[in-house]
Amino acid sequence: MTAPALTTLRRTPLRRLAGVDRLAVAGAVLLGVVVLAALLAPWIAPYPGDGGSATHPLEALLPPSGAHWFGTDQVGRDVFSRVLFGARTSLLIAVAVLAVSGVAGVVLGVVAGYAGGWARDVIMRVTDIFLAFPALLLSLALAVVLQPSVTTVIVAIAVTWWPWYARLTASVAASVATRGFVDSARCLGVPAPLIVLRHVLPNSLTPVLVQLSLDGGGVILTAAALSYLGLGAHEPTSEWGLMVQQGQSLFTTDWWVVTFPGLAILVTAFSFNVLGEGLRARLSR
Amino acid sequence: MNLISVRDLVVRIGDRVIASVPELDVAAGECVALVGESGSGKTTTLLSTLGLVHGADVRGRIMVGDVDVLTASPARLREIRGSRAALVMQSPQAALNPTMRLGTLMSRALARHGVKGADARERAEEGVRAVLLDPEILRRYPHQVSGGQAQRFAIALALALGAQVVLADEPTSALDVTVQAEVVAVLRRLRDERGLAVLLVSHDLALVSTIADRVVVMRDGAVVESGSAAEVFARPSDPYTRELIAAVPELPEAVPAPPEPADLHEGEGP
Repeated sequence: MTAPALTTLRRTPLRRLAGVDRLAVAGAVLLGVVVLAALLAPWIAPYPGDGGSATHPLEALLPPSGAHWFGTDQVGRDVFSRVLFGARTSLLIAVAVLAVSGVAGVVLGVVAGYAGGWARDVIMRVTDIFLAFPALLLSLALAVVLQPSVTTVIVAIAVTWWPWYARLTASVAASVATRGFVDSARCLGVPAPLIVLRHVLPNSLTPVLVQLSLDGGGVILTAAALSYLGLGAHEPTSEWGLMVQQGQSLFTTDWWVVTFPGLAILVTAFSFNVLGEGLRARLSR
Repeated sequence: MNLISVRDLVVRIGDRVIASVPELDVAAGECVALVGESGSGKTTTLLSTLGLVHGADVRGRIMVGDVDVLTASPARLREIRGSRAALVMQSPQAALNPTMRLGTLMSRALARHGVKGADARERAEEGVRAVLLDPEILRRYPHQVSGGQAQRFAIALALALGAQVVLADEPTSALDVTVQAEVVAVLRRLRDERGLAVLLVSHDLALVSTIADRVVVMRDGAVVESGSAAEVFARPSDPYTRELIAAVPELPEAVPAPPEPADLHEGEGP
């Protein structure tokens, strides 16, 4: 009778996830493939130089073949190589945006949630102001003011992204702050900053982690949109949104130039979403 | 000398007096029980002894050892919380941070009060053994221990921190009957063997009768009767106390011992 209970304790989170939600595992695996592609791009890309500024005018717009699995673009670069290098840009943007906005949002949220009173009022009203802007327009405005670059994309998206985490964390932290172990920490003479750090924060993180995972896809889509509009990465950087933008006029004649980077965006965003959904189902029980 | 000494305590919220206690002393090796119905002010009285009542006006004189709680600095208050008098709460598992192993929690609490390294490990294990738990429990997370174990751990924490008084707020009401007995047995043993003092808040008179030396009966924030437990239970002078005692189905002579572990295996085939 006791044996199954014991093995449950020893199971790793991933194994438990596997038992529950195969779609989420598929998402995790796909995302792993994308991460590997990003990390290993210089070594596994068939034409590493094509990730950057190389041009091969004689090989322009070749359809997919054994030599060029995804065909070549207007200046003869291998689209497969560029999609691999594009994974680096997209994941870098996603990770940077989630890290910056996640840290900022969680810190402000947990302070607001635990402290309450005027501190919460100030932080949450500022958060509300940011949330009142249409996110993409604010990002666009920022991207226009700053010079178009990958850093600009990160800053522009992070600025519109953190308030969600602040609001989410504040509500969770406020409820964690009323739980018994916070009282008992206070009764043991633990000062407020340590209570926030050791007791409120770790117990407020789960919903934020789920949200971060769900948002990975959104960040990649937004980054692609900014680059598509010419406000993000620029030539010769490999970036999926930029590649879609440059290939769109060729869609009727040379479909592969736009289709493969588009698919890469789709697959990555989809993986983030199903993984996040799986985590939510798993952790909210 | 009294470990806790309260004089003319009055706690008000606005114009309403929520607790008024003219005199309350707890000496070493003594168990004093505050009894009464919900809202009678017993928990407020308990919390005010460590300056943990917020949003209310607290007057009077509260001494924990030589520290005057109402005039002490916040730093001094943090210092005595846990190390002089430690709180044991109603729902033991809610009182433990679910993301921390019990040992981590214990060593953090000890470090907060200046005990670190090998000394801290020793005190943690000694505290855990004193409440009849296996030190192995220090490696577990709160969800891996039972309610009774968690409650005994809370007492072990108080002991490790060197608390001479345990402030127990309904320490058994979230536990089932056999586990209640376990916790009460541990408290009694520590009182008898180590002179641990207990300030107990409870509405469970059956529990109170098995452990308390003195009883303070409260109603609507005021003390209606106080005296030795034997006296109060045998000859309650106040009508409200008589009502409370009459409401108890029976007062057992002694707390039944927890079942032998062997009982659990009965009926299982070879």
